[in-house]
Amino acid sequence: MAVYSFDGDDLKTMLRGAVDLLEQTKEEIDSLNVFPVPDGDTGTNMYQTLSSALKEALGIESNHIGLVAEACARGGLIGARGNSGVILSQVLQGFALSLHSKENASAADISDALENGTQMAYRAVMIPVEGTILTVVKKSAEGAANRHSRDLLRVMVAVMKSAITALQKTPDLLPVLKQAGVVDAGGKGFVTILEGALQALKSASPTAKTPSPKPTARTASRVQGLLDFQSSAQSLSFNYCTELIIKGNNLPGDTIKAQLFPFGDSLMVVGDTSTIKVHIHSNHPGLVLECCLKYGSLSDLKINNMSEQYNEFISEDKKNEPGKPFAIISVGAGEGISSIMKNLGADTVLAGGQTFNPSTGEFLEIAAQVPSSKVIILPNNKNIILAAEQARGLSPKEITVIPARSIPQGISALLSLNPDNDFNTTVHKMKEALSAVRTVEVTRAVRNTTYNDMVIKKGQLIGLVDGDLITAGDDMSKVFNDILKKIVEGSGNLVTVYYGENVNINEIEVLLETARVKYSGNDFELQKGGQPVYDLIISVE
Amino acid sequence: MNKIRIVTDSTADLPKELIDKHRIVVVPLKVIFNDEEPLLDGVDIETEQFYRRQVEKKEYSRTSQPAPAEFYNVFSGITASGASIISIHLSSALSGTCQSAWIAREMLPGSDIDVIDSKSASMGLGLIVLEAARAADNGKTKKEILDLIGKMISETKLYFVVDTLEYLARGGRIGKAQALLGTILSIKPLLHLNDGMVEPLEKVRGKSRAIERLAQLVEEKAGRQRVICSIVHGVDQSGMEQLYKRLIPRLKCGEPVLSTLGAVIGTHVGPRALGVTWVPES
Repeated sequence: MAVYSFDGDDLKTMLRGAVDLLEQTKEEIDSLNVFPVPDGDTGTNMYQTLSSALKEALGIESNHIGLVAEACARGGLIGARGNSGVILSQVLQGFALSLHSKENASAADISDALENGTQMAYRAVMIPVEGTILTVVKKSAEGAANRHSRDLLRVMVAVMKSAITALQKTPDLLPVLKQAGVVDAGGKGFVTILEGALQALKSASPTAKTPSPKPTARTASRVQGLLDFQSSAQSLSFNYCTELIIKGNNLPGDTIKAQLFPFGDSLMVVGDTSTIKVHIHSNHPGLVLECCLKYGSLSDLKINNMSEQYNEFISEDKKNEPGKPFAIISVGAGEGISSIMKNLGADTVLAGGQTFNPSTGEFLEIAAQVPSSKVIILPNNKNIILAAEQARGLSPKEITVIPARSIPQGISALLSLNPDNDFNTTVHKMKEALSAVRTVEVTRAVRNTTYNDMVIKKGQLIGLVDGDLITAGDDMSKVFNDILKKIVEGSGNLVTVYYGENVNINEIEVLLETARVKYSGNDFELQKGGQPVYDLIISVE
Repeated sequence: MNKIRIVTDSTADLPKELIDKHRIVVVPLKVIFNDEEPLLDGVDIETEQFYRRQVEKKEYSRTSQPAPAEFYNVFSGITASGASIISIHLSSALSGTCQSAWIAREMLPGSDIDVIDSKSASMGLGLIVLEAARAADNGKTKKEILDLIGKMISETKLYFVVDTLEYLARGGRIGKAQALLGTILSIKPLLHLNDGMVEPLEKVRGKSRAIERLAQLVEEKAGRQRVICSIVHGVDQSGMEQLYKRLIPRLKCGEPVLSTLGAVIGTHVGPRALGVTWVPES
């Protein structure tokens, strides 16, 4: 049985299958981490990103694959979490742009869409690294292009095979993966998505479809994807208020209503068999007009961009607000960390960190709320930077992301705040402050592994200095002292220990007392961080 | 030849021996604890006593400028002997002391009195007063002394570090919002006087790191020019010594004037403040 085209419903089916399989597999993907740190959240992030995409896609009642893909991309973009989630959202974005005007997609269309998705994904990261999800996506696209079949099922199988082969080769491309004995987690996530999609297609036992797609509505106005996303961020999911009057004979009001329903919301179809007034909020006023044109002649056309109206309304409103020259959004976990950040001048502390990365949508929402048109985001985690960057591109506000990769770097950046400095100087000082501090994290291994000749057992304490695993052991005092030996040089250093939740503070105090004697000439400070996952976060300045 | 006397106020924080040596006239401001009678700065209450109350007894104080009549008494006593007066005071952005002196001057028509806003405080004011008194001792003309003062006012820098912004905020000498910043993590704010007003420079964590940064900033600012310099503290002897050791070898300067903060400045900067003031040699 061959399948020659996919429609919107097929795409929804595949998405649903992919989300279901990701849900089952996400813990397994989470554990595929280079270091056995419990920060593995790649699977969870990709699952959440794709769930958001599916939710938007299901909201589209149309069978038009371009519309479904567009909704799916919008959902992915808003729900994007973590690096792999952001890259995935870009793949969906490429897909949507490629399928934009298509009602159905042929094998060639899907192949093009994959190629387009690959390009978008590579563009999204500043320095693309091979051996990651990027490579797996690229190889999948190549698999589709090389299959030269019109049968979509065959193409999908080829894509899947290429993806699995690419995934298996990721350790050859990235030595850290080989050392840790794992394949790339993001790549595995992508393979899972393809696998879920294929399974769903098979179990839906599709009937053979005609190879000739119906002509698509070429008049569809090319709504820029970004505009849609922006309006979504402001909870305006449909951009164009479209109003018109249809005149004709025996106008079927109910049929027209049913046909227009998928194109947006706030739909009103009123009148009689000779005159019908239509009102709808839609992202595709062109399709609305085209649809109505089938029934009669159109008059009194009005199309307004509501997002412009909304912005005007907002800016009118903003004039009366005192506003700040700029606002700061800082990401952190734990009440101690959060109150320190607020005390240092963060306007909002967004709960997040390892294992719970905030999404692009959350950044957009918070950015919209803060009382300033200029926003500084401190992601304070290397896996959150991309989602914050994505928000920068989508927000109507001027957002600057300071690439803080750890809590100590975020705090260091906040310390550089001087209320007399303007926005640009503040940004400059914050970026400078990032290198003024070193970061140590102490947490527990989530699996057995060997790294740099260190045999690490599940549950053991491990210590990372600036992201690099340097020590492991059962004993906090051993791990703590190994770290100090590595990081405290000379004198005049200030070592701040932020202790996490469920940490025996007495034990840490004793360790600090010993360190004060051993490393005299350096200051040691203990602060309540209250953070999950990490027993200790230590900054050395 | 007409004699010139230099008058200042107690916020110059000049050491007693220099005041005596150059016969500088000091008009005291006042410090008030709770509902007690006002104490004359440096007369009724000395540095040591003041900090004992502020630190050990955790008592808060207020301050008050000298009344015009107090300046009048001082000025009229000096002018009666036929001398001219150059009266140099605490920044008018921080205190009404200049205003009181100005009113007293207006009450003595026909007398030769110049009232000058130093736009500085503590030893920043102190160094200007000291150089003016030296110039007067050396027989410089009034115009020469006023020119010297004018030049020094535009060139005097005062950088300081406080243990907490609480006292500056309490006295309204720095914006409230800024006081909220950095009340944790043992942050030591570095500040400076800019056009007579207190402005923040940086926040540094840990006292010894703050002292090192202070020394760095002063070295950067002072460059390789010859300066006269002073270190003041209120009271943090070991901090002062640390700052001395780190800073003085990096500057082209003679022996710095070491002094302690009086009760009035102490009221506004709080315990363990440490400051450096310098001005290029004329």
